[in-house]
Amino acid sequence: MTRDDDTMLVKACLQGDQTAFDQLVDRYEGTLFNATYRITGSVEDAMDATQAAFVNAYEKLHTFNPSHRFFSWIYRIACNQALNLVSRRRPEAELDLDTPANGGDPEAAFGEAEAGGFLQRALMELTPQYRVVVILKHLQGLSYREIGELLEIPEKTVKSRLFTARQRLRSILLEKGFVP
Amino acid sequence: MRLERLEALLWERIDGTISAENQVELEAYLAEDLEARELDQELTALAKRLAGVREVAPPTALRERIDQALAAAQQPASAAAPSALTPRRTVDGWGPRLFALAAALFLGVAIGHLLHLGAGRPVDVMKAAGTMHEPTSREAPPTVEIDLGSGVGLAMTRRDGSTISVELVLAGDGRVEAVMEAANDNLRIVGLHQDGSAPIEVTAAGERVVMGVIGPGSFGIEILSGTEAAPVRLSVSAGGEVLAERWIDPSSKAVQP
Repeated sequence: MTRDDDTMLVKACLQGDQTAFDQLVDRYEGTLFNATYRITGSVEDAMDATQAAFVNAYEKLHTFNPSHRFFSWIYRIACNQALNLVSRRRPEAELDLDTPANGGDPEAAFGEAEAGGFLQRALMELTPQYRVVVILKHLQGLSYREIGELLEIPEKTVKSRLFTARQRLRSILLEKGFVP
Repeated sequence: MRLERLEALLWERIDGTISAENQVELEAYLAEDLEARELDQELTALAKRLAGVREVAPPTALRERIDQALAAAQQPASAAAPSALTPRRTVDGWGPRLFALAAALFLGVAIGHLLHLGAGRPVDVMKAAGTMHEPTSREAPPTVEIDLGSGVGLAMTRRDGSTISVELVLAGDGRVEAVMEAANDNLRIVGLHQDGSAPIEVTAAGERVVMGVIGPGSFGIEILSGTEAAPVRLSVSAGGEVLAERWIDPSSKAVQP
């Protein structure tokens, strides 16, 4: 999939091609679902955010600037939807990250806990603004520039936010005795 | 070198953004300092762990929901413009917007009447317009979503006469078991599908079908009951703890565990 392909599909959709937007959904449904799932920590919220992103993008397609990447545009919409859901949600119940059942071996504990979605739970302990940069950088593999474009913040801010987020994530892991 | 600068340079190296000059400085420092090398290993391992987090397959119901929501979004456009899929770039002013809103409300009310004919219940226009979870058509039996808890995932059920579908969409790696049980009726497995890497374990014995799966991924089972009216109860559990219990029937009424 290329930027040009996306631009052509957007153009076709604006000209009334009923299948063009379906192809964009095919391309990005999985990526958007994964990103929003990691941000919200909830399958249901991720489904809501992904659905809302596609509908918003469809309704505002005429405002899309073809000099930008469609993927970046819809990805930003989805991330914002997910962050909005997280901010509206009541505070999470205390996460139970203590007491690994491993006989005191931190290495083994990390392996076991990670198998149960431990990293996801540790990520959920970060505030949304820190969580999202870690997700975009490490789980989605985006560059500082791409993250900056998505979140509409300068690259320098991405870098400093990411630095703090990684420090906090590491201290969450260390506090619980899990050394990667 | 101060710890903060060391950590910043290590992350720059992991990210591939470190300058040649800083790389030389960092390598020289690492060669001399054991603690710096340990920190290097720790951060590298953390980055690998994060990058190794597996992708979660989107639930199959997601695409259905997106399609329904897009179809609902197209309705006002089709009332206001010749092409149903052309976004409303030509709609200006309040007149056409009110017309589009009225068309949407009318459509919502009409679908609501089809869904709730004779029930005398108020119509939720947003739900009827397909922007919420429930499908809009009477022909399509409703998919019921059951939240299994944070970090576990979701169960989805659907019943169309004697055909019952259950799908588990799991985010975590643990084993989850779904038990479908009918009172005084035989259940028969007619289909299995999965997006996860671990195989589905199933056992069927008369009134009871058990599906055991290990996430992450989505896992579906289709079963047939002997009669359309036979009540079938779903129970989902993990590690001996019951996460959800529900009757699977067209009206999708919930029951207490």
